[in-house]
Amino acid sequence: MSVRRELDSGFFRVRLIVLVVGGVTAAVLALGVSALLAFDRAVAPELENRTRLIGAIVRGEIQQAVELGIPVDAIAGLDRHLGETLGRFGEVERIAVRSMAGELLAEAARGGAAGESRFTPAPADVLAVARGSFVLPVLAGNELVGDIVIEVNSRFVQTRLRDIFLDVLVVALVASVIAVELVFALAHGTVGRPFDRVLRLLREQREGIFAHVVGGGGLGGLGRAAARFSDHALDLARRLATLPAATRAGLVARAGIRVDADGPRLLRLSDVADIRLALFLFSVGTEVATAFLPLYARDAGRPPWLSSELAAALPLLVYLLAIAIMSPFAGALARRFGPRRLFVGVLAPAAVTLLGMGLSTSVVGITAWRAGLALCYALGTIACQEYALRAAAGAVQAVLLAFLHAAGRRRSGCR
Amino acid sequence: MALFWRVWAVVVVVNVLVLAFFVGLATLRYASIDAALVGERLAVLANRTATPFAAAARIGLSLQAVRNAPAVLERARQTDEAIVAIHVFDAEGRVVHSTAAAAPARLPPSAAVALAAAAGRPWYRETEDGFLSGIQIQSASGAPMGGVLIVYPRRASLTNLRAMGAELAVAAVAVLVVSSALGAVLLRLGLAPHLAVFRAVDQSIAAFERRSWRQAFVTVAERGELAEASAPAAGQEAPGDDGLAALLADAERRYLDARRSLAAADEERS
Repeated sequence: MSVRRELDSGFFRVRLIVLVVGGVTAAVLALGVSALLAFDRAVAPELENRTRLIGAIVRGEIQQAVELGIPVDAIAGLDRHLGETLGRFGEVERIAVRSMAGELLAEAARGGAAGESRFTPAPADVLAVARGSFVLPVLAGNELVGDIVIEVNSRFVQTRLRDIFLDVLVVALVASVIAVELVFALAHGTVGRPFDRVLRLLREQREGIFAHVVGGGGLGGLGRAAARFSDHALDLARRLATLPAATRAGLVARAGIRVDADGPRLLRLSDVADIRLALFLFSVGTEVATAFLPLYARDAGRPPWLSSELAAALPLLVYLLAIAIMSPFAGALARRFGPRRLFVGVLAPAAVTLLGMGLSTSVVGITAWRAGLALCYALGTIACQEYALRAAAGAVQAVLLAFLHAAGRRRSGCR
Repeated sequence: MALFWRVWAVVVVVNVLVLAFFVGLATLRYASIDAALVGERLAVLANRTATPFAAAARIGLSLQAVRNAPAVLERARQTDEAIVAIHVFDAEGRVVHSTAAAAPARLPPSAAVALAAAAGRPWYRETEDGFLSGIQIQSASGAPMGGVLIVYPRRASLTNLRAMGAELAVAAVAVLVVSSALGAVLLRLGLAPHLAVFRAVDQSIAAFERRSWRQAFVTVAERGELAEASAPAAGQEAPGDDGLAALLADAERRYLDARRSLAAADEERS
């Protein structure tokens, strides 16, 4: 049927992924740009304070030398002094001292760009010539002898925000993937699964089987159809229940219908999509710490004989080992207890192991809890695989039955 | 349409969570940048202020003996009117010079801890009392002789932080409103072909129900016609229906047949 085809189609998935991921990423970028502008505005007064301080320090040194009678163009070690000052302030790109004639007397700049004349503003009376650059005059007594130019890195705030952008983009990406999975689960739960149930009910009733009802009818018309055709099964069962057994058997045989004596049962359909969101969230929840686990383990307390490199690798090593050990038995356990029960059963232990791992301060503790998590992970994922295999087998079986049924009808029609 | 609105609601909720996370993280980051900017500036000022005291210490004088200390400290304080106090303390942590009228007798414990951790380098720390920044002064032999401590208020930083949080929150709400509206349009356009298929199912069921209720009160004499009436009207299947209308009609007809058989059995029994 076309609804199932639509939900399973690549076009639907791709469009949904593009729209959801694009929407979330665009929102984050838009807020990022406005945060940058806000940061720029907010730090401007402090940057100005810092620039004033730099200017005051350099100017004080120069004025002291000039007042002692040393000409401004003959001060020894001025470049080194400017370089030291530059090193203390990360946001300053360049400090230069110029004579009144505009001649460059000393300069310190980041990235080996010293000597280049980047701008040629006229000495200003007070402060600030252009966005990102400042000029302070140098006085000797009542005489203007030169100026100090301070150029501030205009990308200072952006540089400091780069880390946060990376963090937020990762979060946005994860949130987008979760959103995509939620939307798929939503479409499956409100349209796909109810549609499959109603379709199965209709096909059964068309063949005279009034043995099932469906619950959770879905949106709009699907919900109404589910209620209506479930009621048909209930109605027939109720009416037949009032008849004597012999009459009932004869009637059922004559009408060519099948109604269970105990009343209709709830129709349960398994689908691979049922476990999709659960498995995704379980995997994200258990694996989210994997990226920083080596760093965490390396810095944790460890026995003296254990090197930091091995300490970093140990939790991952033991994790893989535990998964390899548990995998052969997990399938049998899923068959023994049922995939659903096994999956639900490992959720609480998995949460406890994550908590234990977070509270551990030693490599041994982290590794032990991580091994426990690996066992839970193996059991949970293999339970989901078992469920998916059963659902897929059921679907194949249904297709085969439908095919055989259709072939039988066609053959009888030919006759 | 119900599916569309639900999909849209999921996207909006995810956007709200991501933007709220962004606002929180960005506000904290701003607090850290602001503190670092102020702290670095105060550390440089402390270093500069300590220069004459360090010169005295290098020739073996105690810090208390520097005569123009009040003027040196006042000149440093005037570089920023917001500075609460600048103290000079000796090796035992006693405050020997200060710009504050009511200077504390000793170095605050948080400053003493930060000073010890800084190992002679300029340092700054954000405490409950405000920003503290300072530098140690050493003798010619490298022995600690005391140091300079600058106390700076946190009030302005806290106000800035709150203002930044509010500004980012307002921006986030604006981005959310615009992205939600734009998202609704894009989702509607992008998913239109798929939503049309889901709508076709609804239309098939609605058409079936309509035909059914139009015949709900037919007389007993007309009951025989019901089987035909429950069949789908030719040409009324919704596009993309894929035989759902026929399936609905078949299932309904089968139910009515069964009901007719039951009614006949009832008549026979009576």
